[in-house]
Amino acid sequence: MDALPDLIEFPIDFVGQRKANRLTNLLLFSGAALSVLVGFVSQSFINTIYAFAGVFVLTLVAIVPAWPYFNKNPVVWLKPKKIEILL
Amino acid sequence: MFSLLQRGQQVSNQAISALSYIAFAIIALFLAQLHFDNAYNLPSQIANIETSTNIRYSYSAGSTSAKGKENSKIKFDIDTDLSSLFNWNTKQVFVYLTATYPGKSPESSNRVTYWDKIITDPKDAKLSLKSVRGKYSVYDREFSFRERNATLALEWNIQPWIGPLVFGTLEGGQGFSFSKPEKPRK
Amino acid sequence: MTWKGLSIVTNAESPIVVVLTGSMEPAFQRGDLLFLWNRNARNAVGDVVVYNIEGKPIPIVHRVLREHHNDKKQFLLTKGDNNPVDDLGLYKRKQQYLDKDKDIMGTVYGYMPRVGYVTILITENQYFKFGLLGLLALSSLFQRE
Repeated sequence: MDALPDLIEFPIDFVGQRKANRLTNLLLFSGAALSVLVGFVSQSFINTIYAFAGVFVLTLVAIVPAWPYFNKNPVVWLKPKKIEILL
Repeated sequence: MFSLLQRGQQVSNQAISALSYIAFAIIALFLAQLHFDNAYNLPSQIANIETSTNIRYSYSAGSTSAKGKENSKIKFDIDTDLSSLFNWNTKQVFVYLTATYPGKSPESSNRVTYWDKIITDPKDAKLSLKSVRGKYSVYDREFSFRERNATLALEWNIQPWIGPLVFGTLEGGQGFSFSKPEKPRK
Repeated sequence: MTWKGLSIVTNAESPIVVVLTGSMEPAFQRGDLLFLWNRNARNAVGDVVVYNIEGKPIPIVHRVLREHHNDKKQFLLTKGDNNPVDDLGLYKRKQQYLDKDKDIMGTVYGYMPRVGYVTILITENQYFKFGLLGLLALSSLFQRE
């Protein structure tokens, strides 16, 4: 039961997280502007909705799975050192 | 952003933010387009106004006593082009014919709707109708209209896909007087 | 908190309502969201208003067909766009008009399509309600403590 969250974790490293955050905002907000443009030029409200739905799906596909692009800088953990205890 | 779920949540939240920006943009463009297309100064022609007044006795015609209530009906011609009201954010245009007339005291006023029409397709935006019968028989709070003078005007309301409801009045209002009630046929 | 704040600013008990009936079609569909304002002193013919009738469970959203006012009061007669006749039959016996100050809960000034349909599904559709609860329960299994 406790292992369930681990099963679907799919982690990415910290540099990757920053990249993911920036990419999310870039995709969604430029996609929003594009959707409005598409709707305005075609003078059709529903086209804006369809366009943004596409942008949303695209962003999910680009960001949610743990692509290797987000795991290029894995965290380097220190190796455990052996200590001698002198009594 | 560490886990799958967190990334999914982040994308969804930002998407909702982006949608609110989209809504603002659509509304701004919508209102600007109306101004640009001169939606607020559209002309109209109302002609051949014929009114008739009858005393009716049913509750649905406003009667609450044996005396009855004066009801007014209208027939008219209308010519106007409402195409400027239709843009990508227009869901429907509700156009209605109103008559405004005074009441007993100087601060009182009355406005009644004789006729209305819903237009959903911009192809139907050009109205050129002859001898249209008003849809509604109207009555006043008083028993009688007292043959008062009234002003007819064609008003419109744009129902948007998203955003504020927009209202306006067409130019070309006409005056008329409520007619004397017809004698009931024996 | 924001809801109460919005309630105060708009002076309406329910500043946002979901359309529940089809009496204003094709303008409004079930699930649409309406934004209300209630600081206006008077209503104009053509306004879409929300009003309550004693004994009826849900508020009615219809258009003002006629209005009569003096400096103290305003009386309104309403009608749903999709109804063949005005609302006289909906009012109380002997009530021929709505009183702007007493009966009107707000005037519609803004509109958003379909967003409120989720609330209709939750209150009316049993399968949706239990499905949603089931999904919430399932998601708690995947959360970390």
